Amino acid sequence: MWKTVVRRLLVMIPQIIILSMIVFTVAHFMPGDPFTGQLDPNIDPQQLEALREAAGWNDPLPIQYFRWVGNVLQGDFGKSYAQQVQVTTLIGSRAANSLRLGLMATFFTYVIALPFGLFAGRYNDSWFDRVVMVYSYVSYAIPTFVLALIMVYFFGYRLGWFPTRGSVSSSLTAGTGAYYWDMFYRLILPGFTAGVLGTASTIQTLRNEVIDAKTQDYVRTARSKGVPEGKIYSKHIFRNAFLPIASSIGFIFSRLLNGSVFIERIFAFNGMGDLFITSITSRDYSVVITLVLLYGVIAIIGSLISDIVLSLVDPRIRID
Amino acid sequence: MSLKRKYGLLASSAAVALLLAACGGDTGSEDTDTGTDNGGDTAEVEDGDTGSDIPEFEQVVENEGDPIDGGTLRIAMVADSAFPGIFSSEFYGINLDALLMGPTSGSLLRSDEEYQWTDGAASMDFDEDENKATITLQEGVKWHDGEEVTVDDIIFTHEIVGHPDYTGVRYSESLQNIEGMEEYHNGEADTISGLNAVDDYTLEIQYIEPEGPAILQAGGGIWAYAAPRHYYGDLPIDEIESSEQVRENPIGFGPYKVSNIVPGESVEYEAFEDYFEGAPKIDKIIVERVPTSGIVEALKSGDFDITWGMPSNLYDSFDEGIPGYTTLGAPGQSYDYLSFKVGEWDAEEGKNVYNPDAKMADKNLRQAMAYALDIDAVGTEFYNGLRYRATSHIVPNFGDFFNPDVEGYPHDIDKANELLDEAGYEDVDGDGIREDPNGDPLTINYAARANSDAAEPIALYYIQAWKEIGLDVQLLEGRLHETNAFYDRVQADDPEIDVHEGGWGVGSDPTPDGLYGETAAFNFPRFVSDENNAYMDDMLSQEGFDTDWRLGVFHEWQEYFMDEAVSVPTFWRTELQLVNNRVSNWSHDEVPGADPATYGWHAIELLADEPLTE
Repeated sequence: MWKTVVRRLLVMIPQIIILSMIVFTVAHFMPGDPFTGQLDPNIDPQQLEALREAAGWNDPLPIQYFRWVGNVLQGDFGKSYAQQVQVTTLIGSRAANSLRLGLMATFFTYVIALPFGLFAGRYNDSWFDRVVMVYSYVSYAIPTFVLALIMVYFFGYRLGWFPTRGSVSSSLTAGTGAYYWDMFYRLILPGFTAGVLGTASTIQTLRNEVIDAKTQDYVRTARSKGVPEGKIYSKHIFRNAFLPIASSIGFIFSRLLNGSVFIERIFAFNGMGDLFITSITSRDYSVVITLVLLYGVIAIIGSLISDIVLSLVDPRIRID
Repeated sequence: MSLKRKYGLLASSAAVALLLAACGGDTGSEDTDTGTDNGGDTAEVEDGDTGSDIPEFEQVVENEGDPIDGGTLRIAMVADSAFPGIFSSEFYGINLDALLMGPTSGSLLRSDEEYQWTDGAASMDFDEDENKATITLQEGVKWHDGEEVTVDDIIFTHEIVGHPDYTGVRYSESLQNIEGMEEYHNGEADTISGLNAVDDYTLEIQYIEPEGPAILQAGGGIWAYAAPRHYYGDLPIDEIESSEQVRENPIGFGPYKVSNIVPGESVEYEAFEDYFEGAPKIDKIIVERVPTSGIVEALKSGDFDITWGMPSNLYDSFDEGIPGYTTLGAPGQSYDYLSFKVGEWDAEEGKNVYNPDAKMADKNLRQAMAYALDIDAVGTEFYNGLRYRATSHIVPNFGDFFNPDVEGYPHDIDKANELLDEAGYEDVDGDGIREDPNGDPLTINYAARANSDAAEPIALYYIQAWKEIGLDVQLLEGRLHETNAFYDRVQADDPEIDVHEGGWGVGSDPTPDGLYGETAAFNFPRFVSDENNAYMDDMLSQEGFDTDWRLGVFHEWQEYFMDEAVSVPTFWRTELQLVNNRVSNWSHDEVPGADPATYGWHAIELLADEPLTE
């Protein structure tokens, strides 16, 4: 297996090179540049031109590309034009927020989806199953921003249970217990919202797997041996039903950092999704390129992790 | 897992991003556009008694009551994206950061009712005979770390902006006009010879070319800031803006010092007891970023005392007022316009060249197109009356500079038809569409930005209104255009574009040479005439130190330029600000020249422990 992992990692190199070329070219084909939006009669256009020249945007694209690659190889991803900090610093600060939110959302997704999926499968066609089905259709169909707004309105403003804005209060000192608690408290509502939205597919997969497994030979064998019904489910059926979920772990991993524009904007949460969109609209090349590359690399690694996990949990599967 | 799935994920997230970028629009500084949600299904605008639905607002509020001791003032910054948080007058980019610097940075000079410089922590005199400005600092103005603000700090801010490694955009023409600035900028000198510190509190600035009266205007040339040299220490110039001293622990000499920053989300300030105009009366200020979707609910719950950037398209949901709050409204420093291409930009010469044979070169045609539009009706239908018909390129906030007698282009179809008939645009072949004076078919291309929900219905209405006077106007490529792409093409004089809309923020100097002068790159109509040049020269000339004479030139120019109709202002805007009734005094942020002794950050008080909700 390790041979495969190494081989997959090696294949990543040309993948990333090609991706970087495409992204770099396409980013520069976007109309305008970071200064196009700065139409201000009080700003001297010559000053903008001097800054464009200094940034090297007047050079031919291949030259710009190789200069950029040279810098990247030294760990320098450039500076954001809109925010004027190193891209790595900027992404680092946003990634921490998105990661926390992503983990919280994943937690809620599984807390809801696992029992719902498993028991809806075990007692299929019962009233519980029907309720779960309706729930999963609704949660699948509802647009993110609609649910987020309902949550903010109801739990935030009407009931006043949760804060509705930001990742942490400005009045607390970093590092104290109260600070971390506040951070956690503010994650609950957006995390729950994002979590609910992700439950439908997991519920459906689990339910189908369980229903499928019920009629399998090994289950019939267990039953005929007189294994108690509860044990059949916990030892045999549920374990097998988890296989497809295990295989999606890589995806979850890659989703953690993506962020969600809607959730972030509605909860005034400073994450990667908002960063990605604003850097595209403001033509913040260095940020856009770095983010797309990062997502690309994460997606490739995520799929590798999925394959590895699958081979570990299911001895029948070998990756060579 | 297959390759297909991997890239499927990547591609779909990119597609969503692009889609959002296309609808989200406009992060540029040319103007932030907040359109309404008035449905996109109709381009029909009713005729009728226009202008009567324009809501009126107070510009200041004074509340009665016993002030509490200290307290916390809570400000809502309404914005859907994070603020960059560059606490530096030299480097900040967007307006959100300027707002955040308001309570903390301190003002050397302030602007009066007409955006002319008046005293702050310093005073300024300009000697037109010597072509020299003198800035005199008060003694005892302190930075937040206790050091005194000196003339050297003012020199330092000039040295930052003029430095060869400076990465911001504020190295302007008038800064280049300071003696020795160019040598310093080119790295030939270590200091700027034209900046002469007479003593610790007096600075003389010597200019090369004669400076006109615009120098008396806030934003007109004097770089009235100070940067704490002792605090930045040996930081290289190109590292200042990302430094901890600017991003995490900024200092200023304003009434409040920054005590905590949560990047992109909130900022907390504490009273600065040694503020030179007296210790602030409120203990703390907290500014929190609030998404557009939540602001009205947040105000109804009494979460905030003051709003920054209240979107006018939400006005529908609080036009009855929010209990506990006063809705203030004031004209914004911006206008929307229609611009007609009548020339080209000559990049080599660095000037605009008028083309008398351009499709839009006929003045009657342009005027007719302006008369054809019922701008007031569009304002009430799509903007709840918070945008209304503009009658000048100089916004009314500029006081005496504004000429109230210019009528502009009220809706008048008969006049429009008359103008076209007179100029020979007649329907020769009887299809209801006018041909040009030579009898050839005439199609005019109109370009508009996709920057709000209202953009498309408004564009369709314009086209329909023009059709009513017999003009065949087509939406450029049949659709609206993304803002960056739009300005790229407008700036490059794309021959496909004959008419386009746009918006300008006008800053604090009314002189329009940066937008309509012969050498102005932002002169999008590319209009040049001897008469216009003469007006511009007069406005900038030293004769203009005679204020009455200068105002006369401004008034005449507004009449002249409106009549030429190469750029026709369409809308002025009312900017809203909500203030809780527990705030003792507040003057709308857009109103210039509010008296600091009453409305300054250090002077305001709170009249209750929590924001009022009834």
